[in-house]
Amino acid sequence: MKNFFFALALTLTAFSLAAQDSRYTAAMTDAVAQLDTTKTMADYQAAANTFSRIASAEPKEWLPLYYASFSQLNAAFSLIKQDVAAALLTIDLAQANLDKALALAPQESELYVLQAYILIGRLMENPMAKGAEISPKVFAQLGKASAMNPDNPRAPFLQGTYTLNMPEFYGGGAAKAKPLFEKASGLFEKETDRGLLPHWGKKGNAHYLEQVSTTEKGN
Amino acid sequence: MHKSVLLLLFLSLLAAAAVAQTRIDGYVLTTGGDTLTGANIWLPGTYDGATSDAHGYFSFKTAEKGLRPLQVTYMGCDTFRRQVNLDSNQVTVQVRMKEDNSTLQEVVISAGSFEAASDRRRAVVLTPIDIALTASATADIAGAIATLPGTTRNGESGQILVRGGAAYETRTFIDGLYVQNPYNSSVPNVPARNRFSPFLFKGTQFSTGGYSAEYGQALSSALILNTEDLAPETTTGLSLMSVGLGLAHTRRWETRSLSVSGSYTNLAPYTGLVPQRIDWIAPPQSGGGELTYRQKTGSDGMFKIYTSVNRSRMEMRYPDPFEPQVTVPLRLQADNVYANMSYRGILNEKWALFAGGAYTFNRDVVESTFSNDQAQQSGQLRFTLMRPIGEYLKFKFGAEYLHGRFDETYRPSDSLIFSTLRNERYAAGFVETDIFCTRKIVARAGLRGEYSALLGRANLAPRLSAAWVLGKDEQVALAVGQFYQTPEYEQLRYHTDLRFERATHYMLNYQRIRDKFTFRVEGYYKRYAHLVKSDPETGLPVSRGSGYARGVDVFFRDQKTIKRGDYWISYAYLDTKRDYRDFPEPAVPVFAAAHNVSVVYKHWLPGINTAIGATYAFQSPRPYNDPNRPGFNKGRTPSYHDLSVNASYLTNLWGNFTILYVSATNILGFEQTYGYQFSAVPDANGQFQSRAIMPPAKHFLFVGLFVNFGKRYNAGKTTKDDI
Repeated sequence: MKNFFFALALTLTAFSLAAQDSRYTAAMTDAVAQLDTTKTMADYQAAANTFSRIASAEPKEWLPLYYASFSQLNAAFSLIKQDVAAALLTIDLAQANLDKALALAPQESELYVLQAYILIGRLMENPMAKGAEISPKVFAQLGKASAMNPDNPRAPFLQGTYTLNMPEFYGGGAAKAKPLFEKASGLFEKETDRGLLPHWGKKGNAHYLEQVSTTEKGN
Repeated sequence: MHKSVLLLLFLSLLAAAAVAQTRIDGYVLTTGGDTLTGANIWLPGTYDGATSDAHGYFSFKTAEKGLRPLQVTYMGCDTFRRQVNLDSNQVTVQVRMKEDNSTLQEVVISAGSFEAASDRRRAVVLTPIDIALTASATADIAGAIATLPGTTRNGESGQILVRGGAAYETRTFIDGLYVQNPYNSSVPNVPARNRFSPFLFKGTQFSTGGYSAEYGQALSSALILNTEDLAPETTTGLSLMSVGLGLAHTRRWETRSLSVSGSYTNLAPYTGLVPQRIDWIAPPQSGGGELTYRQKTGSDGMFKIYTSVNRSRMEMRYPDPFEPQVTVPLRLQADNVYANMSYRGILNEKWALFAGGAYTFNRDVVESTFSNDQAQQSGQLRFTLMRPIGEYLKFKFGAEYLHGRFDETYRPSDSLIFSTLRNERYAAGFVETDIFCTRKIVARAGLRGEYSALLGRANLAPRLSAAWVLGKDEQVALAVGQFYQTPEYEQLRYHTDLRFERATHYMLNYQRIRDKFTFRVEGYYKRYAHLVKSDPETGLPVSRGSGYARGVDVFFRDQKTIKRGDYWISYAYLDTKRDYRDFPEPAVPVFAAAHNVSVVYKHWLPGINTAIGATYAFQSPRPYNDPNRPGFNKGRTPSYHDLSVNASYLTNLWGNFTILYVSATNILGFEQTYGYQFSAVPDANGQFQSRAIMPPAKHFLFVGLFVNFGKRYNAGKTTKDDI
């Protein structure tokens, strides 16, 4: 009888773990699918809320925190034109979620890409005054991301967009950005189905690669 | 036995599946009744929740049962928590969110204050870049401040004059510590520059009155400069200018940074090329060095050291004070040492501490037909402690001690010597509380007490200011307060039985900041009492002077309408009279003009990597005293006009980031007359001969090449994304 109860307990535990896991996967799959089709600031805010709820129920998972932070950052980017102060407060929230994720998964390359992205968000406050301070930090974070996972296409992609938007005399411009987009493009091609893992950037990279290629022809 | 267990398990699973889910819905509103969109509503520990829509409405389903906590979060609000009973099919919750008072600091008291802080919640009016790119400023802090309303341009001194106050009524503070000599030493009618580079500072707070009880000893205005924290990176910079050269090296470690720089300027080549009104014997030259050290301690602490040494000299033929048409040789040699050390950090998570000390030594030796050797020293210590009390109060107090010494030997002729030695021991303490009455109203009440051993007197200065947010972008603010200042050492040569000079400020301000538009208008009234005045009978100084100043300042800045363009317009109306010093009757002082206008424009040309700028300044006639006419200060100078331009070209020189900077003042060649100087005695015809006081040269041209070695970036310089 004892053995039976022990077996039952084990089965039940396994069952509930599986249920828990499938519930998590289902919720995340829904939320990520929702995020992949977001268009407006309200969509990003709703996505951020959804991921925050999952993150609070699953305190050991870094992925919901990553997506909550990513959604907040994107909400901030859409907010910045109308309300700079609110956008910057939203970026603070994104940073707080990223910090929690970094504590859970300090070796995860994607988190350093997101850190660089958040720093770029901070730049919006006053590009002229903050550029010199923030640019080296952006490159340092992207360097870390590539060092942890040389196959992460989002690191060269983000570096490419940043370089493209940087004035030429600072070492930016289309010519400098092009090899970065090319590198990212190769890595995006190699990237197989990522499922729930971060998979943004492929379309944007193709767009920019085309843009810098036509600029080059134009010159 | 085990059959019944299995049955029970089966039944309970079946029961759980059979129970319908509970629907939770409701509206999210603020306590003030505004709908909140985007709030997160959920049952903590589950995934079940929703986001409120444009009407504040939310709705979601859950399989949870029994009493469960419901939580609502929204940025800038306190978290809302309520137990809900999920045993029914439908639960409706009215959510009322209370605005979080920690975000109340968005309300900043704007009366009398122009902020240029990098603090995001405050209105940025002037950044170091703004100062560098303001055409008329030639990268001088005082020059840029002179384009803000409330200031009166005084080309003859180069100093900041605020709302009818004399130059000494504006005091400069670096990291909270008083700066005894903010300007380079000069002689009357040869303009001085501010000693400090605008790039040392991350924030400039320019107060035109009604400032915090934290600061004292300034009747009119406090210029509060906050230095940069850690240097961003290791760099070496070289500057080659039409007036000299400079070299700077900065080293950055993880938590520390150190900068060392040296510079030498000599105007001789320049004055040789550009015609001068001043007859230079030896044009101004100076040499100096600076050292800046920063150390981050813990997560919140910052320890800072800044020191500078400088020696300068100039020699010219100068108008004789008694017969201005005749010039006599005059030589000025000046030495200055300044050191400032401070610590800022958090103590046991409640108290924020600031502690600092500063030392200044300045010696000016003038030799002419007379000689004057003036040495001033001051040492200062101060601390400030600050903590929030609950959600609605922020409490601050502090104290300071200053030891000053003034030592002067004046020889009007070889046989006469007048010596003055004054020692000051000054102590002050202050308390100040910010009271957040509601999210929309903040009041600040402060009290400052001061004691001067030199005067043997004490004073108590109450100050009160408040701001009321009218809407998302606009607010009204007011300030009243008393401000005391010890008379200048020069007024204490004869005796020290004088009172503190006193000013009472009243001001009302309206401000609207939306996007990249800033509009503000401020009206003020300022009453002076106990100003130093010469007793008409004895000629000795007494504290019987008085005066008033009133006016309106208007400021408009638009960084949006013109693509890549940025402009601001400031206008100040001033009505002032005072009876002080040697005035026989109340009169408008020579430094006051009724109307001041500045129009500043900046534009970025990405195609040629160049920022260009222009400043137009107008000033209505200023008074001067004409002994050939009846009355006092009844003469009026012509109106003043100036159009200055500048350009900064950014490039790489052998792979090193380089800026070529060119600026020119008064390009249209206006006749600029600041006043007239008259002989002390009439000529044979009974007329007092005069000489116009004008700028040292019709134009000032400046060319500089700034190279940053091995770097693509330069601290704080422009990128194409802004301007």
